[in-house]
Amino acid sequence: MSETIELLSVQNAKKSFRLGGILSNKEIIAVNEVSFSLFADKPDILSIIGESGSGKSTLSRLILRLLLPDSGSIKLEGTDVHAMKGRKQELDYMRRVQPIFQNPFETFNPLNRVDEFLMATATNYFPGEKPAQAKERVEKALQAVGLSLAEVGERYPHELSGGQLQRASVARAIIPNPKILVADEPVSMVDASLRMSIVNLFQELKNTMGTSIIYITHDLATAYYISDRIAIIHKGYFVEQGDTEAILSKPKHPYTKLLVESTLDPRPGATSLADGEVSTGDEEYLAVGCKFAARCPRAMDICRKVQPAETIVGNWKVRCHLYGENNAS
Amino acid sequence: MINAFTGLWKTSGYFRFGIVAVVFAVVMVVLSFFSPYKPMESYAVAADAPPSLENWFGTTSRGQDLFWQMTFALRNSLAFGIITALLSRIIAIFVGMYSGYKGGWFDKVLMSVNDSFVIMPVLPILLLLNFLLRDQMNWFYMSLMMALLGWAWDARLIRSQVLSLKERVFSETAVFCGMPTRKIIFREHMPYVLPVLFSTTINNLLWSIGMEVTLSILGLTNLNNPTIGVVIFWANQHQAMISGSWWWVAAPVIVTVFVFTGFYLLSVSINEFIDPRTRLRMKGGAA
Amino acid sequence: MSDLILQTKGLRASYITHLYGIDREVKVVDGVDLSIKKNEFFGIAGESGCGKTTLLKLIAGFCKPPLQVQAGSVEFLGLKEPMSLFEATEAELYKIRWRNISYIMQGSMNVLNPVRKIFKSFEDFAYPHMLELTPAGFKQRVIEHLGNLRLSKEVLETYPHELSGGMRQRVTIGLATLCSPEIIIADEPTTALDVVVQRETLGLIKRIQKELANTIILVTHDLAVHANVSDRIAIMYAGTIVEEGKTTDIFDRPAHPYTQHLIRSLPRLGDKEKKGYLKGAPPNLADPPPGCRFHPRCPLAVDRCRVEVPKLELKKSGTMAACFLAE
Repeated sequence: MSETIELLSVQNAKKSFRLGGILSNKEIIAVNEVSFSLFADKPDILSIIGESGSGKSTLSRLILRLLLPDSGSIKLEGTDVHAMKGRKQELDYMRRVQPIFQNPFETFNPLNRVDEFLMATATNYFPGEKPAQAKERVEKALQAVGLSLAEVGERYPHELSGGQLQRASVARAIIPNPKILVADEPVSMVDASLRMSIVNLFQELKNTMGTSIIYITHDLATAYYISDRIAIIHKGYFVEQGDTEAILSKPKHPYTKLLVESTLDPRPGATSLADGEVSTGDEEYLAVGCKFAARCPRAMDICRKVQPAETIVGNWKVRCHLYGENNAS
Repeated sequence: MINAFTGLWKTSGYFRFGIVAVVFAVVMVVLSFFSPYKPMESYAVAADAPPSLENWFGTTSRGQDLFWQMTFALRNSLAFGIITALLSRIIAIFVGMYSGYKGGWFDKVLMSVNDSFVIMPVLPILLLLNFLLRDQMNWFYMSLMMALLGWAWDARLIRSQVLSLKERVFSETAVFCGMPTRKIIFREHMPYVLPVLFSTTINNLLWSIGMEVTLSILGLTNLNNPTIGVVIFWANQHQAMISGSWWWVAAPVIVTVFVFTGFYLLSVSINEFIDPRTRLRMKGGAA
Repeated sequence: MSDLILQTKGLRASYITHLYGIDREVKVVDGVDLSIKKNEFFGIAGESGCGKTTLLKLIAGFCKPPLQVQAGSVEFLGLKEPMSLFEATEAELYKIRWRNISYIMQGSMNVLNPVRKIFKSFEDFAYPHMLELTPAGFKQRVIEHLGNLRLSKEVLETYPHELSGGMRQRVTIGLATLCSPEIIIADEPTTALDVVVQRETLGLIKRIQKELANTIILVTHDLAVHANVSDRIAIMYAGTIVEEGKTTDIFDRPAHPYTQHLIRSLPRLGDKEKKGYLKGAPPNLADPPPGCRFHPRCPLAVDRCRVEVPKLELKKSGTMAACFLAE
């Protein structure tokens, strides 16, 4: 295990934000004690599942180096993100880690042609090349996603469908041959009939280009469909992470179980619709102990006092007192 | 572009009026180069003659044909206004866009400077400077001074536009395309800033001509070079209203009001048109 | 006594804009016939740009420029006499709004006034339609009603931003159901909600329909939602209805190629089978293709499809489909 080179190594990353004004001391820890790794020789699709307010967006911004962690470390190919200073290192990071945003119509500038960002990416990451070469790179990237310059180059964003535009966004991201793609809800705004084309595309990219993909979503069904590994994030903590098939077929953490039960099965009447208590929101962030204790059907006394640590159970990691060192599972 | 022009012409009364005013101003300026009289020449024609077929606007007490005087006046006033507007635009763009985009202490320092300029009382300062430096003052220096006093307010407007643009997702995409800051500002954000820029340009133009007229009427500028304000100054000096030569005051006032109104309506109509939201609605999208 | 509560016939509507000499007509609803029954959970499914939101607006009687109705009618059959919504006066429409036909919208923050407490929103929206109650009686009714929705009466004194997204949506549902209307129209009511809250909210809506025995018209692009709540579904594509039928029939034996593709491409937990996708994209409604609007993307298209528009007909599978090739 120590032989595998770590492409991305996140260790105990923590990021907090202050609530309220200057005089307030309420703090929300958006990302807390998060650790995971991506390996260089084995490209993976890692899904990070979380609801809104879970910290997944903050985590994606940390991985994209738009934010720096308050404590803990994030290392890309061995170098800590804090140690990267200056324009050259910034470009170097972005060359290896590229984003795909949720809304393709916001990703591009509505007033400029679609090929503007594509050509800019090609010329900025490969300086010293002639324009014709840059154009070739753009064409190659577009072909890889099933489009072409003739089809989309001269168009404006609103002239394309959501599916086409999101694919163009993926094309833009793969031009510098990145090692990691961070896709934040990439298909939630794409129509159902076009959605699977993008999801399938991610799998192709992993297989043909060896790109690792961090797929952030709240949709368990598509996550199940393409990811090798999965991590469930709740109020800043990874509560369960490991092999997708294993976790989603026999979830251990009560929150994961709740998510799996709540995912609608697209077969008539397959999901039971409970009309139970109404879920609450922000109070959970400021709660002491396990943040899920308030809603957990198996909460114990210790859950309300002490935040559980991440333990290895079987071949995956869970953060829950039910499986802690005190309990054998 | 042609489509834009014909589209605007057909639908906007403001635009039609504005174009007429612009055409009028251009014609006057061009004619000024063909004037049979020199700008400083006096007693070339009969003095104090009312408007007639020979002298369309009448003549002044100094024996100058008022129509040809107005062509010079309009030319000089417009030249002054355009130079001032251009200079202050350049300062406003650079300060507003870089300050808004960079943020941090860079922004704080620039905005403190900006605020100092905003609160400066323009007219008293101009009066003071013109009074003290009357001998060294020429039109270019005055233009430069006005530009330095006129950029601050518009820079803030542009900055606030950039602040909101910075938060939009495509600004982040631009960063990940490897775009340097200046490219992001000028290629991605500029199209959104243009409407603000355009309306402030015309406003600035009208403001600086207005200042010039004010100062000239008070006799504080170079009074030998005819501008709109200078013409009115001399009219007052010779007590034109009392002596009955009403045309000497009427001509510059009417011309000024007509041209000002026209330019203003032009900017209003073009502004709605080049607003990104309108342009996109025409093409069928949404901004 | 008919068992229908709402009927549309040949409904055709477009967005017409004139801007700087450029005229555009977007045919957003192009020939829609719907017969919606009493005591039924009716779902309308479709992707973005298919016209379902506009169809809802028309059903609710909202029709303002640039939206223009060009043909057809919408009849509400819940009163003694059938009422044509386009020919009704503003006063008549106001009487049935909220009392007989109410609306649940997508973003709860769109409905609730952020600077008014929740109870004030109830007063603003619902009280004018329940003037036979005294103010105290009205408040009592609201408290009881919210209790039925598992919201405590403290909620009435809070501001919208103090509640979670799920609770706000419950309040919106409470507003829409207070007068026990015959028709409740829900436009993507759970799309913005988290998975856990979505299931609770859908459970609530389903329970309400059973208790009130009224009709709910639910519009969402998410077929998984329809599978679990709707009794009958209409699938819309490019402004027309391409298939309509009982939920079980639509999912088990879809007749129209578009429906077949949609059902097959739905991802599901536990299902690793490779999913396909349709080439192309939904058409531009300002310039739709001739004949069947789906033919450019249809794997089964023949010459007839490019020229003639198919009608919605009952097929052997049990659903009504608009396709020449389905039996």
